[in-house]
Amino acid sequence: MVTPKLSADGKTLTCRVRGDLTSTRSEACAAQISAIVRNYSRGRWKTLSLDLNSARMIDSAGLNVILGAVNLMEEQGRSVKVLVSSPAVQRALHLTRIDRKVEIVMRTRRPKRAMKS
Amino acid sequence: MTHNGSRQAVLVVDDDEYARSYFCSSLKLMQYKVVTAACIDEARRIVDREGVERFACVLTDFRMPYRAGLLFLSWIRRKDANLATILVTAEGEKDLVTASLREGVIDYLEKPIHHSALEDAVRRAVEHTRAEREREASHRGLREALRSTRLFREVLAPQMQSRLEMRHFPAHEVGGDFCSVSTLSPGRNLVLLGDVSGHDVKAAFISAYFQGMMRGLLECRNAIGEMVGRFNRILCEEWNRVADPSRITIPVSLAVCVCELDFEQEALKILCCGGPGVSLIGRDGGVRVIHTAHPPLGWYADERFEPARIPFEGITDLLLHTDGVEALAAEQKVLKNAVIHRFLSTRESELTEIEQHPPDDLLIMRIKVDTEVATDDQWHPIINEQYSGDEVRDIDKAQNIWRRSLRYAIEAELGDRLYDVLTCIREAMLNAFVHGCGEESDRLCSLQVNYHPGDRTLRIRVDDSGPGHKFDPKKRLKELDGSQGNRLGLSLIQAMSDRCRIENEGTSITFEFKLQ
Repeated sequence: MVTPKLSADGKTLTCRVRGDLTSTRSEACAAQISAIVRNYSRGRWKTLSLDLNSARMIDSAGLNVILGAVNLMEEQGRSVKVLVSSPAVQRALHLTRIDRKVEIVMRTRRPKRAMKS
Repeated sequence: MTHNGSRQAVLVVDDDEYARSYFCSSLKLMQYKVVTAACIDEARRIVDREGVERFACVLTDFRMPYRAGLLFLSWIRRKDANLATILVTAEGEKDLVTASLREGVIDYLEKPIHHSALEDAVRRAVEHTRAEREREASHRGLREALRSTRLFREVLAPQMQSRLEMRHFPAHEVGGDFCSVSTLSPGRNLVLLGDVSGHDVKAAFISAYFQGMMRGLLECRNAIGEMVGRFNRILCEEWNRVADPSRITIPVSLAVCVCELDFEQEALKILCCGGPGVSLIGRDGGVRVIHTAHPPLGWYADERFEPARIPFEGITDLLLHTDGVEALAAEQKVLKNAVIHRFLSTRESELTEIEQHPPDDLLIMRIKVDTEVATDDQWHPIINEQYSGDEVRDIDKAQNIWRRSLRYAIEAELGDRLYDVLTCIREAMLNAFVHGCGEESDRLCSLQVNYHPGDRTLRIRVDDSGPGHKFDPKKRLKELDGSQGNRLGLSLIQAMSDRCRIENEGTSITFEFKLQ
């Protein structure tokens, strides 16, 4: 469900979450992110990047996972960045003011190319 | 020429007197009626005079004077292609068989002919003619039934035309779903919607018989329950009685919904037997399903039928449908109200191939009760479901069905708000499952999603059977400072929707989305 990747410069640890971040997956997702953070705890990375680009939606349990990650990173003196591409996820982060606590990077979906005749 | 009796006979054509005599006496021994002719001209005259249908088999010699036996076969085939013929040939004329088969000959006999060979050949030929004629009659009956079915489908009372919207996609030519709308007296209308088992002439006949009988008897002010009960007894005691104690007789059954709308008295009578119930749509899009829970007609002769009596008050529309809607909904993995909405709001030409040719007959009817409320200016149900508290485990599956149903019914209108809507439905349902029902299997919550085409607004209502709460989601949202906590879901609904209302001490939440 969650796969890690350390950036080439070693400054950003990315956790790519596959699928929607909702109540039925939130606990497992939080556990996997925690394990990844522990595995990379000795690294000099400064930012935890939560890649939610494949999520179409996030519910309150999913938002709590992000808030939990923010709290953990604050304790470690690190920051959180969230990558999103779904307008519904972006709106949820904005309306719950989570965007004040973390940097949100919105990936705009490219419009589909017209078929060449 | 000899002529025995008036039953179907075997026509023997042979110029050899001894041969004719042999065939005649042999066939009489086999209990057949026999008509003989010495030449094909005589045979033609006999057939023209007596009628081809009088004969069950023709036995003709190939070698006869003036005209060949094959010419006669060709002539008789034009008269009745179902009449089986046997060609009698001399020894060594087997090559004729190929040519004679083209003329419909089903067998040949080579002289000298043994009695048992003659018996076998004639028995097969007579049976062949009987089966072919029966098949032909059945097809002719189907064509006639189809014509009558089409006529019935168009029987709609003129007074009801402006109140009716109907979509009918029959999967078969006859039988299956049917409907009729008629005026019993000024201001009093009868709506029949049914589904007869089978798609043959018998099924078509039963549906026509039922419609005619109900209309006639109700015009004479007979009571609905009594009339339906009478037809049920006819089906059980006459049509479905066991004809052969050694074989299972598949009973004919009829699922029907009978609705009497009395616009003078502003009241409805509804009787449902075997099929889906009737949905009463309220001004707010609320759905009340009336199901009188009777079995299909033709099952139990002693069943007593009692219609539900309902005043018009608060009802804008009636929705009726047959079980083909459920079949299509299951195939499309959506909920049935989404199917009904899509069919009633989409032009027939814009429906997909599978929708225009559904797996089962599909019949949907909307009857406007309150004509002051325009169709575009009212709420239409898209989802109307009830869940038990323990279904929280399957919320992902449920959400998948909500997503598919919303897209199926109103995809164009949703724009990019589908997942906003789904997020809020999920939150409201989680709240109902966990806090309202305590995840218990014996406690229920409901989800209702309605769409208002005029306002382009989607309204969602979730009710649960719990104790409620005094929680203020607006305040909770203001207090949110980035810490985790409970009740974030309700705050999310408040924030993401365009309007949100919590009622009944927290056991009901209603929220709306303005769509593009």
